[in-house]
Amino acid sequence: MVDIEQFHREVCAFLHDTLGVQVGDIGPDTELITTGLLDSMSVVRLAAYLERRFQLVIPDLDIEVDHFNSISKISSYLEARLGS
Amino acid sequence: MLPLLLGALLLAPLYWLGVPVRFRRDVLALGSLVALGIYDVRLPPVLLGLSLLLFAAIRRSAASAIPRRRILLVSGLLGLLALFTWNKLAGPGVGLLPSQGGLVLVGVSYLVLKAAAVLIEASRGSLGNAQLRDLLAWIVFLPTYPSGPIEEFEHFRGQAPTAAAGRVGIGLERILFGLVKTLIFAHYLGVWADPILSAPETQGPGVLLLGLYAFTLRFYFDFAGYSDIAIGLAAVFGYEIQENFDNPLVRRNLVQLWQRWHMTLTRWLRRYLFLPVSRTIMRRGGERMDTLALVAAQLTTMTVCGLWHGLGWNFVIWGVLQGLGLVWVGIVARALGRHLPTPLVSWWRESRLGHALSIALTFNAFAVSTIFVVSEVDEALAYLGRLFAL
Repeated sequence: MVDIEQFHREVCAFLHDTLGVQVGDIGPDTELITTGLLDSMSVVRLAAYLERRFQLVIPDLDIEVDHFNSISKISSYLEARLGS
Repeated sequence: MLPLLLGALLLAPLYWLGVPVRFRRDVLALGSLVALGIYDVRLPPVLLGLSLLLFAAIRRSAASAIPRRRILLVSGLLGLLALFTWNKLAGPGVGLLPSQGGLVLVGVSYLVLKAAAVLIEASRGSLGNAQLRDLLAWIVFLPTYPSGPIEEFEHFRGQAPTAAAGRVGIGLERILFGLVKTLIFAHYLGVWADPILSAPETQGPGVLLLGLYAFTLRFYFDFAGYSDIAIGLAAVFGYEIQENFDNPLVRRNLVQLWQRWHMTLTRWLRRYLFLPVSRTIMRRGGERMDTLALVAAQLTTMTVCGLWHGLGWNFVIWGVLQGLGLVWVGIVARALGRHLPTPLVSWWRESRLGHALSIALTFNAFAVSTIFVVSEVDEALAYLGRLFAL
């Protein structure tokens, strides 16, 4: 299981340190892509980070708004992938 | 294409009153083929042949092991590339805007992207069981055939053309908006801008800049107007087609602009070019290659975007400029922002003046780059030389 609070801290740290995103107001359900906080390049970097962090392969097909638009969606996606 | 639009609208009542729901898709496919045949008698056999080839390739791919799928995919993509190149190079002249000609067969630039998408999805095993009648109806669908939007197969085949309340009325309204954009705004902007763009040596820098603004707006109104007409006509026949433009010229940076300009094309490019290229380099090169991978993928993607609009060095330069702009916004400006004083960054992001300035800068950057859409490289450089009084 992915600890959502710990995961939230980790992803926010990555968004801030690597992508330069202002993370002060980002909550678990803040929309990251549809609000423009993340663009295609940022999402690809985030996917690469998650692949390395969790030792899994994320198919190109899965890099979509449905899975990456908020930290809670990313967390749910990873739980499904890691649990399967 | 206006007579086809009028003919389609006149036949719409017969379609709704006389055709049972289960036959509507087939009747639309047949009607689209007849209409395209009236426009150009060569189109129906080409489209039927291509649909059959595509269907056979999808079926064969589904029944094959991965190495054979890849061979089928590469063969199919090379064939489509050859068709695209021939269509662009063998035409009677350059035609960029949807309302202009210049191609051997109209609609083939869009057709090639649609066909490539289903070939790639079939190769990935994500297409499911595709039926020939669905594929044919999607390929020849009259509203989107000439100039897009590049409707996805999955989105199209999941729909049943039933008369949803108000949809026909909304479709007619959308067609009207599209006609106003194309026949009035784009037309008169062209009337005003064309003499400036074709004889820039007689104009001063201010007029040259206004000429580029006018062409950029014309570019937008022509494309967006055609998309409105396509989406509206599809709605009149019971289909919801994916949106293509969302006020792209009033956005704060080039990333936001390109997320809302010709959205079905940028989605295609992101899915089938940017993601595979960037992620392949990242996986092979490791973490230290991440930034380089993104730069390489972005430049590759936007160069291909430029070449899709036209096969010439001016389009290559236009694409590279877009790619560099996206890299600037997505990588360089993000990195710079971390080293600037926080109050300055907050002012830029949150104040009305910062908002207005960023929109103006983005529009100007995009407008100036469009000189490479309308002119050959030497002419474009001369235009820019006069514009900046060099």
